[in-house]
Amino acid sequence: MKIIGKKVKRIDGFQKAEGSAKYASDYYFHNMLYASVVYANVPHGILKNIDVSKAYELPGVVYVATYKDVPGINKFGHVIKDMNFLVPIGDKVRFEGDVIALIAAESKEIAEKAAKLVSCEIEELPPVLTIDEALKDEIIVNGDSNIGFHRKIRKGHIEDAFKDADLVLEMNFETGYQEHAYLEPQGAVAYYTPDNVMEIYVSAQCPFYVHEDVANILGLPLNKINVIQTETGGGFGGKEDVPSYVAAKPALLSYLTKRPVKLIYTREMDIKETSKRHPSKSYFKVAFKKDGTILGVKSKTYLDMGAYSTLSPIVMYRTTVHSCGTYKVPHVFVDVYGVYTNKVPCGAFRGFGSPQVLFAIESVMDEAAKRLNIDPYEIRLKNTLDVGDETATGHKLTSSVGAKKTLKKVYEISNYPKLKDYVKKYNETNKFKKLGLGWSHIFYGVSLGSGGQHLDGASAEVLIQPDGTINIMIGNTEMGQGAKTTMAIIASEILGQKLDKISVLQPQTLVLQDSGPTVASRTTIFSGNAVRIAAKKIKENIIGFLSNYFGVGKNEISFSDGNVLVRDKIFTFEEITELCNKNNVKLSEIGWYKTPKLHFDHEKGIGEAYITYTFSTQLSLVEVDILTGKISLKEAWVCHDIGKVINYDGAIGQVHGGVVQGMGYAIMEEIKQDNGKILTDNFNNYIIPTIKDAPQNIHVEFVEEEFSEGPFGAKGLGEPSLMSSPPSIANAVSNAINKRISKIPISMEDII
Amino acid sequence: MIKNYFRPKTIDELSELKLKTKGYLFSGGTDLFVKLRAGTIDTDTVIDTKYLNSRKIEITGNKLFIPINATYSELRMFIKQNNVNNMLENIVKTIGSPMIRNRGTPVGNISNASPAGDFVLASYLFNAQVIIEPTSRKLPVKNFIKGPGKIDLRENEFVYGIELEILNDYKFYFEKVGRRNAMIISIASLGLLLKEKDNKIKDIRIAFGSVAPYILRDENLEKSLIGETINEELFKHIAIEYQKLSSPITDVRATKEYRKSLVHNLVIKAYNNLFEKVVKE
Amino acid sequence: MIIKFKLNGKEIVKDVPVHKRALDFLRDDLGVLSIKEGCGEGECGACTILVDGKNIHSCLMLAVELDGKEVLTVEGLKDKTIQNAFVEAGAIQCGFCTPGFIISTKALLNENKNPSSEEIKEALEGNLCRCTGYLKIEEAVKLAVKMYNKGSDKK
Repeated sequence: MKIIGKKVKRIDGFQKAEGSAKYASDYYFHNMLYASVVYANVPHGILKNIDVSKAYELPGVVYVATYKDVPGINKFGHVIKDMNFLVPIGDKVRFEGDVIALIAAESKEIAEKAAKLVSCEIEELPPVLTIDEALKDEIIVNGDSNIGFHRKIRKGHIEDAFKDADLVLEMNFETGYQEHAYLEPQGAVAYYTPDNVMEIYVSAQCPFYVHEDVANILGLPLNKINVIQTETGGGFGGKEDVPSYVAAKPALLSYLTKRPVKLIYTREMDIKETSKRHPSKSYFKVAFKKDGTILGVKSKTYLDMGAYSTLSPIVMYRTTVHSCGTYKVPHVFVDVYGVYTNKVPCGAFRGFGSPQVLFAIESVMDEAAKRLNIDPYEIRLKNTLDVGDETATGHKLTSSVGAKKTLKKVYEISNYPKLKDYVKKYNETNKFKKLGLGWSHIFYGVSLGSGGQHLDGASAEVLIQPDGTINIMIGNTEMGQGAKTTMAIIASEILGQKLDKISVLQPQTLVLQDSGPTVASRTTIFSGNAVRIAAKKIKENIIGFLSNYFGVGKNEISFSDGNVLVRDKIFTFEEITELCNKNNVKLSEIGWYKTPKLHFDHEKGIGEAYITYTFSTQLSLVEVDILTGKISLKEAWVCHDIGKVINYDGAIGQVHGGVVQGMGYAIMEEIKQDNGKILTDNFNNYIIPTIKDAPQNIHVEFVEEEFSEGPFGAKGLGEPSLMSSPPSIANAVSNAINKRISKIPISMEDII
Repeated sequence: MIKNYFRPKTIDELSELKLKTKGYLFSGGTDLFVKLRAGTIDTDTVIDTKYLNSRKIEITGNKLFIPINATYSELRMFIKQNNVNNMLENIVKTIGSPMIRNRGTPVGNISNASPAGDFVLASYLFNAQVIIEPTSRKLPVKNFIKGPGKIDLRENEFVYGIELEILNDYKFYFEKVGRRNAMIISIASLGLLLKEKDNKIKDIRIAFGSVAPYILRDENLEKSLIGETINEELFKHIAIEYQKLSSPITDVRATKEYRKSLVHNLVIKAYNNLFEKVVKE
Repeated sequence: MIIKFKLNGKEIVKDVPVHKRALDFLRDDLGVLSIKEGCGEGECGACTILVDGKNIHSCLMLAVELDGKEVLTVEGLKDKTIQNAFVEAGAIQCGFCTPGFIISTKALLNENKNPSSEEIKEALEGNLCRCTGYLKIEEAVKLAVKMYNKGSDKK
């Protein structure tokens, strides 16, 4: 490999360092209006009346839109359309962030002032605020029952597992919300141009979702809406479906006023209205043999969906598949329920419903190891998946299973036996500070999987300019993770052009075919393959021409280091592209990649859940202050099998960021509510890790068990990088205080 | 929304403006602008005190004078350069972030009178006197602060500065408990100053933040400790006594039960850090 | 109110409404778009600017307070060492927090040419980053120091 897997500077780095990268809030248009939002601010009720007259009296207010102004379908919902865009009179308010009206005004100040002048009458209903209350089904939040969705796996005979077991563990777990806390709040600028094309500049992970949703809201054909993804300041799942709900607001106002309209959320709006990681409650019953072998897993998990289903049914699919962890489990009986409550709707967040159950199953593994007197490392090694094994859904793995290797690598780089010894000695001599070590071993189904295969395709266009510079437009998005650099590396590897001559553009929906969302750690495989296919086609075009032109064999032409070698002559890439251009050689191609068909029985939860899996291991060293309950992550050792490392620095960056974000979830971050109202609505009380909370070191290693379908063998990393962290840290804390942690975020109170 | 902005230059001008407009005073704005945004304060008039001709940070006799508008960063620099009350740095450096410390002021912190205010805790420990103009009143901080957000200040008055005692040869411990290591508003905090002679207490000052409606300091209890031998027993006694005196509440950051445990444990921790060296940092 | 100040070396005289935040004034009226709003209450540091050499939050400052000051943002950095170090070290992901980090680093290195790890962390404790996990950011600051030291060796 010439450049694949090498350390390179990210291609959009300097632009960001000099502050010229354009995020949604950086778009300004002549004659632009500013939008504000009128929220219901009650958790449950019936909207009786809306009075916008006072708002209209304020000079500078141009439009106050309510449900009556929506020209198309006033509904959102990816699986079922159970959420109003703007709540109609007579309909229900189901959480504090339901939207009643939208304002367009000449300035931000006027828009905000006007929002306070809209009054609405809401007949309040008693709210449903917890999973337990919801399960009683006495007050119905949405639909016919608060249990909106149910998914399951039924494999083998679970009762046999318990009958044959030497040890049966029954444990309960709880996990809390997590807010994405991308540094850039949600936002969009919409411009219904004079030629009746709705242009939307939006911070988003999936411009195609915005495209479809805005088309529905406005009743416009898709070819009249151009959604342009702006530079995106972090997503983590929070900008998967939510940007539709955000962008539809200025889009409607722009449609109504025929002027550009800007809506940038404040942090408070963002935390109040937009999705979070689902809180959960789980009950696990797991059977083991004396030697640590898992015989069966029975689990029941409830996810708190909040007021609307949004992406929850898809999130639950992942929860279900990941409930048994990375292990061979012959008997499986898994139930996952999505429950409505009168709170903020939860949705996608890095890991997508898996961190909740991975925390549970990994805690169970540690507890079993303890009871059976086996090292936590050994029990994982014993049960982990290998080539030829079946996952909990019965998916037989035929290749690219580096699970064991990741375990062994972490064991080796951490010098585990020595480390264990050190911790033991430290704890013997320290009364009030204790160290703890915790393992986690997880897997992650890459791509949308059998549940979302209709979206699992992606497009890319590669265009070589006559001067040899290259533009690539991919259908997936750069949101910080380094997708642009990864795509440029792939193109560079194939075409031999230097990285600094390649730029990667943000997607536009009027240019590229729907490429699905930038989620599920799928971008490297999907967009990567699309770029690979397009670049290869162009390369063939060039080779075909050169072979003819110079009268050499096709195999005598090669590309590398910005040069093209034609038999024994070296040309610069630029000379060749200029020549090609003059000779009408096709220098632009579109690549399209879709996955092989997966077979899955959704009724039983059995089959090929995902196209491939990333396998990961983390060992964490924590220090716990017994007197205050304060937890610090001191050091972490992490290894991921991602098939092939393409963008080395990017991969390291993902792991660092994932470990720290996962740490926030495990020990720090907490959404607090009062009667359904979020109290922790900004960074003063929703606290995320600072530079002073990062561990001294995160040791990262990769295993490369190539995945034949992936570009150069690559799988995905975006989410597993976070997922290994919470269970590893929780296990380390349990280890330090010698008490099982069964709830995250871990409360300092529970420690002292 | 702010409609009027003033920049008084003299004490009388400031006083008159405050009386006339009922406007809010600010220097760094690190507190006022946050409250205006949250809607907990609504005013159309703000008075920028930064143009006031005032004294500088200075040492007068055995007092450290901190004027209105002096920022935390300036105070920190002064402490370092003059090698005075170095213990204060341990508190000041935990306040907010560099950006907050470059704008925020000790006088502002005291005028807000929050029981979580870190500089309020410092001012209790150093027996601060609050200097009020234009009346030139001077009163101990414990009398100046009447409750959470409540201060002894008339409509025409403002805090001109504070005077801290200069203390030498004290052992010092400060800890602020929060879920992370920077930019924390304390769940509970402890500041402890101790002068010892022959392993006995010569002077001791103990102050807690965020565990009562005001900074918790009990001078009678402190007096009763003078002459006592320093050992774990004594600190266990102190821990239990202060736990009894504390009256924390449950809020968005923590429960009252947890805070009560912290009162006890922080004293034990202070002892261990100062005398036992059991806890390795 | 009419204010006069220096922005990235250029004299600016402007009439600003007294309620306007420095952040909005600099972005909306003067087009200084490197400054970002992440929280609006002095917690995230994305709006950090250098005022008379000190890093402060432009979201907690009125535009009128800029009067008579010298303001620096990344747009005005002539020396690109810190920026290059951030790119080189892989300290940038989504980039939204990056200008704020660079300004805080600039404030640090103005006063301390050889900061320790602890001093770096203290200097950057008010800048939140959700992508990188911070390790590469600390590395970037150390790299910038190294680059400066190399530069001064040559001289």
